Amino acid sequence: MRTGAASGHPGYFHETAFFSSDEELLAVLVPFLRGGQEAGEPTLVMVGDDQARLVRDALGDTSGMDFTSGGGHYTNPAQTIADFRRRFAALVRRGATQIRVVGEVPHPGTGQAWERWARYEAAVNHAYDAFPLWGLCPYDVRITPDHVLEDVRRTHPHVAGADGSHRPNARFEEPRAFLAGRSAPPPDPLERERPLLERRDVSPARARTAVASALRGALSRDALDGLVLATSEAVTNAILHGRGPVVLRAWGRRGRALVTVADGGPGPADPLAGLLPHAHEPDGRGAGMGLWIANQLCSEVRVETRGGCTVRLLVDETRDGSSPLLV
Amino acid sequence: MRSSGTAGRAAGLGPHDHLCWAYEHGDDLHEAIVEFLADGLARGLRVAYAASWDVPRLRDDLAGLDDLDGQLARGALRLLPLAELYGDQLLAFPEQQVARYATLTREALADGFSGLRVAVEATELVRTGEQREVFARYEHLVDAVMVEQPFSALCAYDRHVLGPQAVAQLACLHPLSHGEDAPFRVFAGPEGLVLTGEVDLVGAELFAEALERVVGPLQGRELPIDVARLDFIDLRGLAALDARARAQGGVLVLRHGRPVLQRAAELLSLSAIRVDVAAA
Repeated sequence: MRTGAASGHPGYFHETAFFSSDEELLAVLVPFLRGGQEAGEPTLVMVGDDQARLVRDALGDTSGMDFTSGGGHYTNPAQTIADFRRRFAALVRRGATQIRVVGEVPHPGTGQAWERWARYEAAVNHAYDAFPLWGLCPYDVRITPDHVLEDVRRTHPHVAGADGSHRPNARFEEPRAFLAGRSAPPPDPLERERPLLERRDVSPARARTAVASALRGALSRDALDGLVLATSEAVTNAILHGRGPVVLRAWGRRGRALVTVADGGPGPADPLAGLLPHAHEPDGRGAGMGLWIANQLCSEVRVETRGGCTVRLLVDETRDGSSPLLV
Repeated sequence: MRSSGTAGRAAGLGPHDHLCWAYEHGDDLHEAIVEFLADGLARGLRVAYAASWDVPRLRDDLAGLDDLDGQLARGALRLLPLAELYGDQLLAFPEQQVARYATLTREALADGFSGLRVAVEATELVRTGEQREVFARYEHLVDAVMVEQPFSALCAYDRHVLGPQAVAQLACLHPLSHGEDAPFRVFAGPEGLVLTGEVDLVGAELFAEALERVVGPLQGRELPIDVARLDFIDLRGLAALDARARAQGGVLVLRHGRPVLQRAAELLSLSAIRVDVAAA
């Protein structure tokens, strides 16, 4: 049975809250967390250390609440979605009738690029809708850039106020429309240099050989294996579903590598492609999962569908010093 | 240890090797067969040559072989029309043919040879799709015998007659191949199967077919596949392994796999395959 503001709501109750002081933050979080505790619902708190301390002090009794530091959970959107969905499914199997989550999605105010997390906020309206989930995403207006706040308003169907209110958000946009309207992010710094390789009309096998040999010195073996697999799948998809010659490019320097696979076709019709595993492809299991798998094996995957389809596969081992392959 | 991969020549092969020799020109073929059999004789093996023509022509094919008459007289060399080596029961009872080779090998050992080696020009046995389906399954069964017994073979196929697709269907089931006839190979190993080469879009259909030849009913068991020299397999290939294992009621265990393989199988939630990662 759903409780609180999410009463009667079948799927994902996705709510945001804007705050500009500790008091305002607590005014929203404390009733939310207490409500979960009192209803015996799994309550996950993924915020930074300072905020966690603040909230714990205010609550006193935090029994039944699961405090985990936010950093490790927000790797890339597809991985984050996969991790959370596994977790939510497990909780539901163990009898949860509602799950409450407080999550701090990365943004420039907290030192992270925003574009893919804007897409994440839109996509999760679908991705988490299979679960009895009440998610609260608080944003500190003092440190969050205006363009981020604008996107937050467009991706959350509900808003919680410091006055205890829970209102539907009139600014909410249907996720696919939001995603289709995103502009292309700027190129990666690696692209300022000439690519290490450029090939036209490439087969999956030639693409693999070229990428493996060009990037052998730049990445660890496991990370390179993952990137080679992702490249092969992207080229396979371009051959099967794309149009015209497939163009492959690769850049790399110590610990960072970028591969692009471009064709002249329209690309995937669904802007959510790659963020969720596609279980309903006509080819059956394995095929159609290429983009999603690439997302799990690479640091970041983007699909640009303006002027043809370009799949961009980025592996960055420098960020946390370990291969994205090693979970 | 059996060799695997591509063999430029038919020389230097061991008593358990199994080589697919797809050829364009008869001359190259005869040279290869002579080399293969001469090597065998030097190793103390009993050797045989079979094709779908008569004995006098078989003799002519081996004109380059040293002391051909002497070898024939000693019983070290046998020339067999195909019908004599392969009864017309092959299509119906391939297992009997396998048993026959096992018997011939035992006889060779009993007669003081160190094993048996056969060169077969088998184009006539694989012309139709139906024939190929049976013969391919048979090739795999006999390959398994070669792992244990000192029995080695060269299987010659006329590429001009059969076409590259048919050749690929046969070549991919041999540990050794003369040309780049198939992008991968799946064959018998000391425990279960060995899969080498690369499996991707280009060989996807060939791979699914090959799995039908080499993975029979599993009856709940686990069948190991050594993938130490599998250079690449894509998601479709992994899904094909899983589908075949499920269809045959068992589990395929990919041994000596790289971490990416294990990760991909986990991500695809494949329940009928398991990847054991090679120790670092």
